[in-house]
Amino acid sequence: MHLHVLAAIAAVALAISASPAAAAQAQALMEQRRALSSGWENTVTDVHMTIRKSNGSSVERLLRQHAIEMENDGNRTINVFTSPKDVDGLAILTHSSLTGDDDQWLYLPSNARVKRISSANRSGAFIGSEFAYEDLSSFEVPKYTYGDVAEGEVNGQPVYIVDSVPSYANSGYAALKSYLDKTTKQPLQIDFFNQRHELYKRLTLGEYQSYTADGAWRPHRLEMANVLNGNVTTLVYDDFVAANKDARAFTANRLPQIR
Amino acid sequence: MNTRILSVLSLAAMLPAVPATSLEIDGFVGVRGLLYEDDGGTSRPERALAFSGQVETDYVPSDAIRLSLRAFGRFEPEEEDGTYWDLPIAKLTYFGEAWQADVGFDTVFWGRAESQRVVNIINQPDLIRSLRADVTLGQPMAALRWFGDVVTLEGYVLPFFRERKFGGDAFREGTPLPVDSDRSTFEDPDGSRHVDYAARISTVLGDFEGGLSLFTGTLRNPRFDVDAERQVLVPRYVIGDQVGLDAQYTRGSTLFKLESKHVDPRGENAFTAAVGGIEQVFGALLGGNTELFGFIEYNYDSRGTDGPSIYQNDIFIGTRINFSNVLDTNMNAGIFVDLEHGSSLGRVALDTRLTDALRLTVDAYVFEADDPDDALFSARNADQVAVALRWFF
Repeated sequence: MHLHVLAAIAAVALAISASPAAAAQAQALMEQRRALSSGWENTVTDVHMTIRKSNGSSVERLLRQHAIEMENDGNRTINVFTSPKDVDGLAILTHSSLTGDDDQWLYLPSNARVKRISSANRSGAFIGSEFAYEDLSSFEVPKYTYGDVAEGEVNGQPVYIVDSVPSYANSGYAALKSYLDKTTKQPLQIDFFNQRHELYKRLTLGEYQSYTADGAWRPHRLEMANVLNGNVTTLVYDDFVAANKDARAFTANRLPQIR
Repeated sequence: MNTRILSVLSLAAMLPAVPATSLEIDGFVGVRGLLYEDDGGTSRPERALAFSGQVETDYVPSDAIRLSLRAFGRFEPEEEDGTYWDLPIAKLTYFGEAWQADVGFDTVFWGRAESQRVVNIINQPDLIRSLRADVTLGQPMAALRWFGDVVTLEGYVLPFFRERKFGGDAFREGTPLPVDSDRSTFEDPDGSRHVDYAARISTVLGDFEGGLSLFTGTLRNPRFDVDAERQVLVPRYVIGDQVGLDAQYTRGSTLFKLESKHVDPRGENAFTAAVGGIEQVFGALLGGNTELFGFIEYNYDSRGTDGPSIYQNDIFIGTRINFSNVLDTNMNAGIFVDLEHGSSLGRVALDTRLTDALRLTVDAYVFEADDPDDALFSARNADQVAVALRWFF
């Protein structure tokens, strides 16, 4: 634990003091990461969430995720709840921002209300899971400032270890360490350090699948372990199926149409 | 004939089974107990028990067509008027490239504010189920929506009017006398068959969004005539026009909201009503996962203290706490303070899952009013607490 703390402090110190050349290399790697996950532009998939608490209790949640990649802008997603049944049909539309706060709307099927909500509370827990809202927002390069790059291994897989610091407001994290597969540039692991610079959460990403010849790499299993309290939340994605919705389907006025 | 049916049946048995997802029925069954304060020797019941259920499904034969159904039923063993059923949604939708047409019963919501509904008018509120008017009765309609890049246009033809429900003897509607809704009168000779029209233009421009709405037809809020002989109030529905404006500006963790309407009822003086205020999200303040929201809104009605609105000059202060846990536990508390009469209306609500399928809601209202000129005075004995359990399937 103490080692983690020291490592984190060192990471932050490095991120701040990293040489311009290292920071440029880090950013270039993250740009490749972004580019190699793009290209499967318009998809729909079912997401199975298992929220396990350290006391042994566990609940399952199911949602359907519609997504579209936008040119020169953040991705747009709609998450529609299927279970638990009391929130069946409840939908959240997110326009990821490259720099500022995301734009977010909620659709409440019980009274057909579409409500613009504040997305400023990025560090809040998504439906009681170990995923914060900021963890579920799409990865965009300008959301972070970059530090040093190191090399290492995750489960025998050679990786680049990239330091970054969120540049948006209200993040729950002081620093991130992303372990990028050297070939695909996709993260196999991300360590999140809290404002006290402790290792707070560790995200493990696996079961990657490429959807196009040029990449479109997507992980199908994400496991977020809270190191501090022992809770673990797992996200399992079904196949990302190509859809034919245009960007206008991802707007507040059409949110009630979504299923 | 019989053999033909049999052969059709046996043919059907040979067809591949329809995937179970194509017609999935969701819904809930629930029970709700309501306890009123002792109102000092009247014969009105002080408790009420109601059972309810809802089923919901949709059928999507193609990308362009969807059939949606939501049917609600309520049974109050001791109150005939508390027993009814409703179709909040029963419609056929046709989706075009940039437009959508709906025919049937539907539920439409317009509005921004937290404390009350000012511009919302398409559906009649169901005050038996929610004193806050956040549950409504299904409205028959033909609706056309067009989704432009900058604006959305909506037009509605509303061929049949839904009267407000007042429940039975136990329901305390906050009127000075009980309401006899069986003898409602209409100003228009067409009565509840008067055809109403509504339209709205709305936009989202970055962090600003807003709408301008028009309505002409039977106003949803009834007036009341006194039947002195029987000591009851009889609802009277008048025709009128309403122009509504709703707007919101979202700036980080602060939301600025406004709703305003100008209503011109036939044969009465026109009036203006509004609500506006701020919602503030305090996410990080508490640490942990708990989200705290604060609300402050000012409510205005130009009819003033002589008018029927209890929100004629009132400040609303409220809070919401989301525990952001797997049970979705949340609490709401709010109070209206009348700046003229000093009266107040308070609400406290707790809402949580008990299991994945079972949800508990506790809702309490407290009314404080001692000025007979105050519209809230009639509700001074309507303090109540409701406990509801719903099982979702």
